[in-house]
Amino acid sequence: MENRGVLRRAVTVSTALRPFLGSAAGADGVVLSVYRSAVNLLVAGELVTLASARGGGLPNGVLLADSFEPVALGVRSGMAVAASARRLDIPGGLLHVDLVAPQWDPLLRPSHVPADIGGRVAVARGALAGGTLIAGGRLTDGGLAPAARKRRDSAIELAGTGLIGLGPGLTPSGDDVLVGFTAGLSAIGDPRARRLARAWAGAATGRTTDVAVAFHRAAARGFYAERLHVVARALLAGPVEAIPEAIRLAAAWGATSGSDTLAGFLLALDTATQRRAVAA
Amino acid sequence: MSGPALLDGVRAINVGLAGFAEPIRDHGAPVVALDWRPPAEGDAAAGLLAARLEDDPDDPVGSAISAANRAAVDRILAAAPTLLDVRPAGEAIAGLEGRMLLHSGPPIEWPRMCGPVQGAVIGAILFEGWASTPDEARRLADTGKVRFEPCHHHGAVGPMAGVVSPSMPVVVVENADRGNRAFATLNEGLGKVLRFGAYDESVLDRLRWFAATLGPALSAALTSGPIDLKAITAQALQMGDEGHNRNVAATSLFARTIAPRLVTAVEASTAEAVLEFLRGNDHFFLNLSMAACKSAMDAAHGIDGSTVVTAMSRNGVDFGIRLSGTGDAWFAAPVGVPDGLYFPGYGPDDANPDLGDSAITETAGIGGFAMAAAPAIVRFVGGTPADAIGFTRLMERITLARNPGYGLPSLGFAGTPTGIDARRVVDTGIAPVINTGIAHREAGVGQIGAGIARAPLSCFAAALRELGRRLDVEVAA
Amino acid sequence: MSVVRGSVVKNSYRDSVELMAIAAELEKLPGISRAGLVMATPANLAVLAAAGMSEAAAAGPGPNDLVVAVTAGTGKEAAAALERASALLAANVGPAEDEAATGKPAAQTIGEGVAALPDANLALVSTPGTYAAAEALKALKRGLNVFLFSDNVPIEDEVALKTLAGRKGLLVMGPDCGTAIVGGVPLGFANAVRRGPIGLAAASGTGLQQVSCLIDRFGSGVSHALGTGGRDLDERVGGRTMLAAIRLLLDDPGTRVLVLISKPPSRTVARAILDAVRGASKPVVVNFLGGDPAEARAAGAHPARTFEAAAAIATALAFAEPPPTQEVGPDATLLTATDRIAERLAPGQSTVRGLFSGGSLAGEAKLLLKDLRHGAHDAVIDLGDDEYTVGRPHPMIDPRLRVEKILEAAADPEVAVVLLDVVLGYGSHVDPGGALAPAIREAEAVARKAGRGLAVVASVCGTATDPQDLLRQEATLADAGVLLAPSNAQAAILAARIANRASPTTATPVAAAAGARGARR
Repeated sequence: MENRGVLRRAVTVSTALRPFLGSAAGADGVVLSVYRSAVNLLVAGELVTLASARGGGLPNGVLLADSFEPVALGVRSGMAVAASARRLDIPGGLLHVDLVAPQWDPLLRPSHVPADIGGRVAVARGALAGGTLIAGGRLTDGGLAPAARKRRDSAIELAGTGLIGLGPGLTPSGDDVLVGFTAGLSAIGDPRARRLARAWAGAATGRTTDVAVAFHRAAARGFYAERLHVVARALLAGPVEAIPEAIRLAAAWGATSGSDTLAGFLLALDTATQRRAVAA
Repeated sequence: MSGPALLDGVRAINVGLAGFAEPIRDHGAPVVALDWRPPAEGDAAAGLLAARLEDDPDDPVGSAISAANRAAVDRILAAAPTLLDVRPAGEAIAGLEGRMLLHSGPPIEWPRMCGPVQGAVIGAILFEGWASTPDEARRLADTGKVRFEPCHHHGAVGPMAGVVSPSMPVVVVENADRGNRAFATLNEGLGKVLRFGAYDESVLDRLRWFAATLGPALSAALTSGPIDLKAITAQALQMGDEGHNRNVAATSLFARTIAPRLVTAVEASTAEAVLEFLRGNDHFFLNLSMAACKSAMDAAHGIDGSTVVTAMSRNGVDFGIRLSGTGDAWFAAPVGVPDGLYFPGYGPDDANPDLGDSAITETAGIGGFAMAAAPAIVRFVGGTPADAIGFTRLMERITLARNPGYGLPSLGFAGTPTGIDARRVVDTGIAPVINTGIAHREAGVGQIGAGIARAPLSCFAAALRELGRRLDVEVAA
Repeated sequence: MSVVRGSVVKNSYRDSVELMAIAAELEKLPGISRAGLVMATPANLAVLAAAGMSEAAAAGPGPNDLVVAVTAGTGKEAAAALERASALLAANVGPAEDEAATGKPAAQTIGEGVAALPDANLALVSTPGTYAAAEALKALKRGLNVFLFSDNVPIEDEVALKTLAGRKGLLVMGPDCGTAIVGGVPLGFANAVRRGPIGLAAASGTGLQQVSCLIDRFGSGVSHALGTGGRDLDERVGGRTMLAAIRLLLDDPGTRVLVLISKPPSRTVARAILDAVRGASKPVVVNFLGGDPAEARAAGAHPARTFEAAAAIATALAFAEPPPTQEVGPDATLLTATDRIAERLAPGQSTVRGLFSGGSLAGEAKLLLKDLRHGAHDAVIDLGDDEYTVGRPHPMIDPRLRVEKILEAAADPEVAVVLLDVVLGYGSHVDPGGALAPAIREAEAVARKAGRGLAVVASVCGTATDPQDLLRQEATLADAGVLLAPSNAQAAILAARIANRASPTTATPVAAAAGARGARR
């Protein structure tokens, strides 16, 4: 590849992408969508997101320096992408990405659930003000919350399936809530996390956008965005005072995606609260 | 002070939910709907502090800050940088004595310095004859036998490594408005040069030629009178330069100004060598531009309460800023690799984090802030002429004034945005844009690309916290 | 008749907010009653189908396609809207291009907003609470009054903001101020109320809406209705905004009568407020829910126990008539209707189930039911309370929770009466009556099947010029068999009367209770 255009070095590459990028060497792809600081690519049937490092790691993400501004570069949806294990090239957008970079592990590992989890969740809810399509208005959660509170697994799965693809946007609000929900379960080591995520990932194909399908599939492997790792740490391990800040940062993701994901995450933590209450 | 009494009719600004603007508009009342987003990229405490430091005629702090900023901006706009002379640094710069070297950026000690700066230090030690081999020079630095101070602490600025040693000739620029002086070394051109950390014989030979020939020749040419640098920059901005990464017009204008003086002041063969050097170095004027900007920003420094940024600079490890109202304190954050275009054969892996005092040009309102003047520059980041104008427009939102001396043709000759207000940077989350060259991470390889860097926002929030403390404003929210 | 049209944009991804903004823009076009832009996922297509808009997706789009769906009066209007949608979508390809096209980016900060509108005098702040104090502070420093819709603002910040506003002669309405009307311009969730000589200052959002709508219904109008935020009459805040609003309204030449509305304030704050109106140049109606009328009377003010009484007294004073000495009660037609309805109830149906969207309206109903229904097991629920809105939208915006609760009540053999409020105005659900009516019909059917009756009593808080249209809403609800009262207070009285009729053992005769109230006033 000639050195025409801009060569950017990835800051980190998700370990989840490693085997795939290795096997997809020489594969072609296409630019799906272009945002202020992110680009979604479809390479050999898998979603790869190039994003500014500012937003943190993504399960399917290649992170670039903060100043990554693809719109300004001229990257447009529909442009061709060429992938190799070491490089991603979007010649039409004059963009070349060097993939030789440190890896970031998107696996969300369970934490010990602190005794004051109820208070922590309440603090988090207080900080999550407005913006969410489901919690804040306009869309119903299809019965997910009552089902989760009653801990009825089949009802949760059913209600969740009804949420897939619900709402506008690149990742519909319903999908955001579900991914947040299984992230919350994973964070507290609830064994239902993978099972539900797998069920929803299976149901998602054809029922929601490709980007949302990719997030469901990542969740089924236990992979979540770094901002959710940060939220999990803050809620379960960090000082209580740091919770609002973590919530705020995570809520700032996308137009409503951040808040919707958090709404799901906190709902999952409610089940931990109830478990505590029962145990006590 | 502001609009009519509330009950006489609503004239509204809508901050937040867009839907609230509609019924107001439907009822015929004027309303501006903000494209609001959290200040300081979501740092609520910094946002609240910026709000507390806002201008307010009814409040002692708010009125003191606005008066201080007015004074600072007046001094920047009134600055009249003129090139007086070219002298050895040890003679021109007070406090540059003994085995002391100046460097770019905020303070940094030898062990933390990046490759290019360490290389430049070795080169300067060899040039001064304090050591005779690179190893000896390195030992001298290792054993603390050389003192290091930032250029900025001595009225000086240096591009890239910015290393200044006593025998190097520096330009002496005087701000005719307030009589303060600023200094910068002479630009070496591209390729193997000290400012990128090279120190082989060709580099040292060039420095020797600077000291023996170029410096004295320019000095002789200047005996017939100083040169108005502001006039050259003003013309160059209308000829496709932005005063930082593109200096070809200003260098040409300078050559045209100095040439007749040179041929009368020095021997023909010397004049020819000097002019040949200028012909081959598009960036010669950069160092003059930097010293001119430094003379303007030093004039505006040290005004109690002012939130105007008077220095932005990088040493390859840290990015630091100073505010007019916070004295000698630096507010630093780790510096990143600029986003840009690489010369063939190089890539981001090869790049050193951003480096140099040259961001003084942006601090003074040219460089990245005058991008609208130099659409060629945005091609480094794949941009269009519209993007170039966009960058300048963006910078208008974090500055207090426009410099009427520096008109931009593509903006209807509106002045360059000048006087960065740290409050506005925090409030808008818009980081100053800096045009920059990209140095190879290893000493001596040289420039490998060019691009655009953004100042880290955390520096500005930290600076406001210190200013808040000095003004007894509640800082922790 | 209306037509549904749609268009599909292949493989187009947009921000949810951007899509909602475009939909809102389309709904402002002539003839367009509904517009939606969604990714064509099965779930979203089902939502479109439920809204009767499935034709819009007739082209069979996939989940990665964007559907633009509109319901319009005519095919021509629909085509115009779709054309507009594609223009808006094209204009929004990327923020950088957007800004380049318009030349100048939209103002982002209050400072930039003031530069665009130099004689601005008000900032409406509805950011998340964490940032609201800073925005309000910047607004005050620039000499702007503030309407602070945001909640979750710490009380210390509220005190600091209101102290600064006091020094500058500015008003801070809020935090958590849902509604206000200034010179006929609605702010937040306000109703379209006729302009007139009555000025309101209210610490209660739905209280302000109810009083202003009833003033409209009684034939007078509102000069200004200033909200203070729910905590203003708290001891720590000291009624700073209420006091400032009183001064503004007393000085305002367009205001001839004042009405002050609040839950009962602390004693010291109440005293400060009554001191402020003592000897005032204009008549003042004091409507402190559950407050002591004697104290108000002692300050030379007119006490009012209900929102309706406040509106009635204020209207009389505005027309320079003597204020009514007795509260307005339900008229003969309504009273007769209660008898008819009560006959259909089965033995054992004895309680009132209040399902409210407005907090102050629930509060008022609760007080009245307590008076009229000694010892009855009535339940008045404020579905807008935090307890119910966690994980759900507010019931004024989304009626679904209320629908559930109505059906629950219908299944309860003890419930005789379901009591509802329906709040109209800017920002509320576009057709709350239409959304509730099917559930009410179903509830009545459920009860009937179980061999019972079910009375549904409601009042609609709104005006004929509200976007939802009071008359249309009332007609829809009446059609569904709802007994409609002209005010929230009367609805509560009617509910009590029906329940008392149904279970005479626990009843106090309503007429006697009303009489007792009249005598107390």
